[in-house]
Amino acid sequence: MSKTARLLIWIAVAVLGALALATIALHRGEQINAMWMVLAAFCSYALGYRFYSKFISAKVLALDAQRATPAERLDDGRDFVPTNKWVVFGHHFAAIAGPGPLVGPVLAAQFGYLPGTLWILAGAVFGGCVQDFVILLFSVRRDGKSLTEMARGEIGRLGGFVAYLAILSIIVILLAVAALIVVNALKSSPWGAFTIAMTIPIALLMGLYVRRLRPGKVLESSVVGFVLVMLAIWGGQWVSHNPSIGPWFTFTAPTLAIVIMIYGYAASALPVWLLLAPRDYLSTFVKLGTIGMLALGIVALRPTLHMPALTRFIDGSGPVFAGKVFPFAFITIACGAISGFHSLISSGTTPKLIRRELETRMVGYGAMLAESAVAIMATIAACVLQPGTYFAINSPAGVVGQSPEAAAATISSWGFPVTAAGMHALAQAVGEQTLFNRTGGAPAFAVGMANIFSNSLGGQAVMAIWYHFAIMFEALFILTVLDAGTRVGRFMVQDALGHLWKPLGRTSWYPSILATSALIVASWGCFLWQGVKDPLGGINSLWPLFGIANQLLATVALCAATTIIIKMGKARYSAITLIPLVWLVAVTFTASWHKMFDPNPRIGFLAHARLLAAAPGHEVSRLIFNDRLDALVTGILICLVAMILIESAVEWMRVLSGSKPARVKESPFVLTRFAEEQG
Amino acid sequence: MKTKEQDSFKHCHSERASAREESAVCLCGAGALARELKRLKLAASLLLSMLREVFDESAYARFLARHRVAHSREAYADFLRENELVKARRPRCC
Repeated sequence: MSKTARLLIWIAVAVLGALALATIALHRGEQINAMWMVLAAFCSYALGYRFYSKFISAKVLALDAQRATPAERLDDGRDFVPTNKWVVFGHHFAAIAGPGPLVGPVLAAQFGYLPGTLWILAGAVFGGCVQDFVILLFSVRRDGKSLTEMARGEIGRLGGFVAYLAILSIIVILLAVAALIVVNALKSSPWGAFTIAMTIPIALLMGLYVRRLRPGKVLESSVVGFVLVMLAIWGGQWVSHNPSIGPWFTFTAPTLAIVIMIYGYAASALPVWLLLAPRDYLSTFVKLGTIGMLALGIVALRPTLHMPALTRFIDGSGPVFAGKVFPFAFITIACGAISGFHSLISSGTTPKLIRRELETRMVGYGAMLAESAVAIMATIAACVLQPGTYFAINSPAGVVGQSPEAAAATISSWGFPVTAAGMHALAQAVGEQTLFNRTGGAPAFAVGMANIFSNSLGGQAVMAIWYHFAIMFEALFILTVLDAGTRVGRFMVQDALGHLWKPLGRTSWYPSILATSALIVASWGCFLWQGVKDPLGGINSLWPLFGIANQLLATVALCAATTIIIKMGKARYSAITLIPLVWLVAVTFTASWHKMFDPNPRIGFLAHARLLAAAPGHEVSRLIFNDRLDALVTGILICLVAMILIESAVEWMRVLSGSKPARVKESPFVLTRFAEEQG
Repeated sequence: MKTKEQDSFKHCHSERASAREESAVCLCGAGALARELKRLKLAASLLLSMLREVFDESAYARFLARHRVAHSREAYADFLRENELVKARRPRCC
């Protein structure tokens, strides 16, 4: 294709993208088609990848086609393996795609579709993708070192320590929030609870199948597992209607919380091959398939968005979670725009598989674009719902009222009409007893996804099956994060405790396994219990904490990346990581200040504690303790951000003023044998 | 004035020409189809490789090659033992 033709095509993409963005941003008072959002996303991603990532790879990082990667130099056929770029892309995407990009955008839809969409697009193109890309490349140039090791090496010992604490705290808070989402999705839902309960014996069966019956046939066992899960969904309908078996699977929120804690503990202590690995395979199989199906469903149905561009709740009075659009929209949507957790993956397995430096662009930047596309799909799934329905599902009883009639009246008074009878009919259609107060994002996403699927395939008759498929999909996702996260947290605690007493660090010593598993489960279980007992639904306080912890990790990653860029002698280009860093610091500090000190008791932890103290009653002292604990955790997180920032800034000043030599700690250059291959 | 033979020749000639064109189109079409099939095959094999990597089947194949052992239940159990720590320490993102 000639240069002129290419130029014309890119001009057309830019014009189309600008038109789509203008349409979604400027339309007021009338509904728009979701395809405008898809088009805006597609054009933004195409332009970001083609021009911005190319600029970064050429000017800032100077990707070197001649330089051998650790996968080539240290090839051991086990951890370091030169792998095809598409295979690495799939591997990386499967590792970074979790429930976060599905839940965050659904919760943030209370502000309308516009704030979330703009943040997902801009955040990913200028922040998240850049972070994943540069951390991946820097890890590749350091023999696949982890973020903690890079922070320690490039910023200082404090940087490494803060990274360690940030990772541990994000894991604990993430697991609590993830478990709370499952609790809220499965409480009083025998169908959902039965389906998810069945995934445990199915995973055990898969573990035995792949170890005993057909050793090594993981893909085959995943297909078998998937078929069994589909049968469990189908069987769940029968269970929910059976008067003798249905009650066995009808759980209250506290009971579910206890069951999930026991599950987390068992999953952490059992052998990996028996439960964790098969669940991981099954979850990945369902995840990749469902994301693909959802994309096809949206394109085939081209649904209309019923949610307005902006709602009245941008002022901070939202029922789903309290707080103004700035900073809370940017804390709520983390994974779909920028997620610190990704930097762990980008400096984990992926750099050890990269065959050529040039491929870090496609894997690091490209996979995050795909993750961002998943977040856009979640926004669409939430916004195709009638706003009244969306708020009825996502608002806690403490805000809208205990009875369906009271909740419907409150939500209708906000200008989003909904009736108790209409919600009852919808609940019947999806096979639930009620859809009121199903906070956490998962049920709303499931209703939206079932709506898209049933209108594309099968009609209203199969709405209930699609709804429970979506619930199963999210719960499976989340439980996989839960058991893998508990185990990773356990190893981190064992590593630290091993410095105090050697046997505690031995990962195969059962007393240590049991003790450290209990410690991790108790840590996230404490937050989970707090969320379950919170009259505001728990998500209101815990999700912002998760967002703050996740963005703190992104701050650590961006500080490390900026330091390396400055030490590379590319200070004039440091804005590519510095601007997202400044933005994240502004967001994290503002959100933390509000969560701690805002006088509104729905936002500020301490104000809420003061309100409770003024009205003594049953369980009040525990709720006050919870509020103070949340405030303390937020304070500790923000102090960590401040420490890493100060240490990084001092390092930058020393390098820029010449008082410290600008020396990066990269592995020495070795010529690659793949040099003649085309990029 | 055109003779019957001339007409017949012209008809025959044009038939042959159109047959040649058709055959060229067919050949061209067949070539394009073959190319498309080749591309599809490549995409399918890439997808399968991706899935095999994600689902650790490739890691098992490398394990067999590295240890120069044949596939067996015992070999797979050894692989699982070796892979356990790596798998357990691998974070899954939120």
